[in-house]
Amino acid sequence: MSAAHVDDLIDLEALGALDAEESIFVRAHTADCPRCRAILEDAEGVAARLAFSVPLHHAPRALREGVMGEVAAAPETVGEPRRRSMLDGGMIVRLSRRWGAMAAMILVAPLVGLLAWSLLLQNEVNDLKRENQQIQATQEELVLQALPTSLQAPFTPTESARGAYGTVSWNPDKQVCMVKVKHLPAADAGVSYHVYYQGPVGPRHAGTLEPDEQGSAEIRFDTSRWQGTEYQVWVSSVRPESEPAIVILQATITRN
Amino acid sequence: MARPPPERSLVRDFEPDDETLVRRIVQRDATAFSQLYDRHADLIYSIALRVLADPALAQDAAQDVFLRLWRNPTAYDAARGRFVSWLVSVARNRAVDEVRMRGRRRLREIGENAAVDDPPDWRAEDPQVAVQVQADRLAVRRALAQLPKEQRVALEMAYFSGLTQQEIAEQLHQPLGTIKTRTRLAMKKLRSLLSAEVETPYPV
Repeated sequence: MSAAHVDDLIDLEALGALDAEESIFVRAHTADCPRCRAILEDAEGVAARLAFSVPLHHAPRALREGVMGEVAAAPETVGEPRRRSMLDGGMIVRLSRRWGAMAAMILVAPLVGLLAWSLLLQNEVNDLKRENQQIQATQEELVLQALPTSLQAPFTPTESARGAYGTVSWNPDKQVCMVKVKHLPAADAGVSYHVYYQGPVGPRHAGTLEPDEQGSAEIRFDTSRWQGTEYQVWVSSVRPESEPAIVILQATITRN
Repeated sequence: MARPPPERSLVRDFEPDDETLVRRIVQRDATAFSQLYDRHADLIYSIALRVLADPALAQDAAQDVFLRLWRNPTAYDAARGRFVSWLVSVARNRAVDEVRMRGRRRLREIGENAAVDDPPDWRAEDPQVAVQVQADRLAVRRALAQLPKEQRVALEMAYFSGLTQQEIAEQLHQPLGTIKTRTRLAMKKLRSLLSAEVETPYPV
């Protein structure tokens, strides 16, 4: 059987004349195929009309007495549990008729579970990677700050800082500089934050800060060309409309 | 030839329709249930008898169908069609389940002597049976009578016995492909005939 339309099987399914495997296949297909589902519903309507063809017989009086007796004794609310055993014949048969569907579910369920589990694991792995990167960065920062050869200077906020602050750490031996900033103002649309330092021939772009929801951001940049003893580092907000960059934090870091 | 008068005249005008009665049953109206029972008991019992070929088993099955209706009337979804169509399907399925549970042990064989050739007990024709049910019965019986016998037998065995195509082929000693073809052709023709009946509900 293929995944194409199941026209040849639909009438037989409507009559309940397919074996379990074929029936499952048809039901699975019609669940996803509106065209075949519509044909099946139509076929089921035709099949159901066959029931009207039976020769009529009087229902026994005992049937009425049995039904009405049960109704008189039945719960007054809809859908309450039956007083008779749930494991009556019809129940057993329905269960047995659906063994194929249950078997298919048993087969499919582990696959679905595995897929869901793998997605969960992937998410966990990604989270762990992010955490690991953060921990690594923190460790590097701590190491950088702890090194006796590291130099640090706090940023001095300008009037445009709006509560932002941070530090700049430079290790000439490691030839690396770290800028760490907190509480950067929430950026308006298109505004970005950049770190600059004063090079020998003018300002040099060290990198772009990408603040998180709390306004925290940090970057590391190479300082192998820093041969002097004193450098100015600053953070500017830059608007896209070619407006001049606004300095919000500035620091001077000096090597003895 | 003049058409017979519409069978609506057989039904008392003040009687509520099936769907109205079901709504009242949801509200636990036992009188409504009693009305519905009286309206369809013969049909439901007859379907069970047709499938089970055993009056006692048919009575049990029919009782189960009606009690399910009483206990869970919301199982019927009016959006999906007429109540009686749903009820006869429930009855057929319940009876077929019984047959399957009993290992297809039958008191008589379905097939050559089945359905439209059976002498109906016309005493059971009750004027309180809804008009549409009467029309359905007539239309389906007429349509089945127009099918080639081998197609009709395959169709009825599939629907009323709950046999798979393979099992029908084995019982009739015919190739499986032949049975499938007969059944499909029967369904195709039945669909066509019933569609035509819809356009002429009271044919002469």
